[in-house]
Amino acid sequence: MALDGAGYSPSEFKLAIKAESTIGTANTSTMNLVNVDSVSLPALNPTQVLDVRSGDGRTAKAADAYTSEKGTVKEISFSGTADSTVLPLLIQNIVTTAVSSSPASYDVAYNYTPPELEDGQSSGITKTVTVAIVSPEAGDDQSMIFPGCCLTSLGLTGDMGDESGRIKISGTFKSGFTPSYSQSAPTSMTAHGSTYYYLTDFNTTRTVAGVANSVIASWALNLENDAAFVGYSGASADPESIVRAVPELGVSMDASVKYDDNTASLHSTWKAGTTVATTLSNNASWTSASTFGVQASYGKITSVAWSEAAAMFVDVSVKCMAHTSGDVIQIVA
Amino acid sequence: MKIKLKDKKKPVPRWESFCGFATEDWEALNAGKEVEVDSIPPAAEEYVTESKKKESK
Repeated sequence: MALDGAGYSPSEFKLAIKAESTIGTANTSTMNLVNVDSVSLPALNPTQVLDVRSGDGRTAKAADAYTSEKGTVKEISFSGTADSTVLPLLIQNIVTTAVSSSPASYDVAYNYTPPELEDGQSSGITKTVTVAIVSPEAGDDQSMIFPGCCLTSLGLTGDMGDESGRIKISGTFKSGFTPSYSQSAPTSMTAHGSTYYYLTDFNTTRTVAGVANSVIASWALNLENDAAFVGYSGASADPESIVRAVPELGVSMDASVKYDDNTASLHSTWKAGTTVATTLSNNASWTSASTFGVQASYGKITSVAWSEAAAMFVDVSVKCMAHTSGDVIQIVA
Repeated sequence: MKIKLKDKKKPVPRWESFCGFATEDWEALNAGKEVEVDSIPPAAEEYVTESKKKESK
């Protein structure tokens, strides 16, 4: 192979996603580009056995090495900026639920169970997506296509001291299906949106951990919905089923709020184990919330700490839980 | 509206948050009972139908 003088900038690599029509079958048509900070090589996690075996000499023989991709889980992690095109797709995939009404929100019901996911059955954005790591290398087809992916963690963060409160995202896709490592770059990809979300979208109702009128410096929402890829079929031993939300679909929030008369007793609330509600929105009535907002009515405080900043702040963490009705969380995005 | 199972041999599955039903309504439906709801959740349309009103004489 002759020397290749071409070089690429890390910024020329892209991450794209697309809802699948069939679980486990790659869909690379008009993929949605994600506004990522950078693209790194996914965790491919191949099985490798390189132990020394019995034989002449005290050396591990190349002939004894065993490498396989069957039954392994690939992980694609990313971080970037949330926009109004991509974030709703990501939220739908991790909460496995389409948009609801009054308000138009993505809800995790109190009795949440995931959809049934079987290889070869019909899919959609609430089930599986194809993820592409798009290479700028044109001479050879070097893009990677990961079918049958589920978003297993999604974090949203906003900090008034960072990009004026623009909401950033991070997350991890997992897939147990066999990827294609030498694919041409998907064509006709859809650009990510240019409408962003901001902490300042929470401009009317700011109730954090039961405290109304909290003065917020930063906020984070963490969603966890793991996926287990079980069974095997075909020459590639692709999984037969994807089991999600084991043991639970976990939702938690963190916020840093100003220490004042309203928030000074949060540690007492924590100690008492009181159920606390959080509502952040652009409307006094939650059913009229729009643009960006969250409501979680049955939270339990999991930690409280003082934080020295421009003034004294209180860092409070809440685990969002289920009641006997309603939702664990509703997200407007 | 009152709804019931279309086919008692085909119960409403527990997938997708009990197909959008409250747990007690889901249990009642699968026990063959009629349940009062505001609307049929999209995920449950395959499994339930609106009960016909009895005509008064």
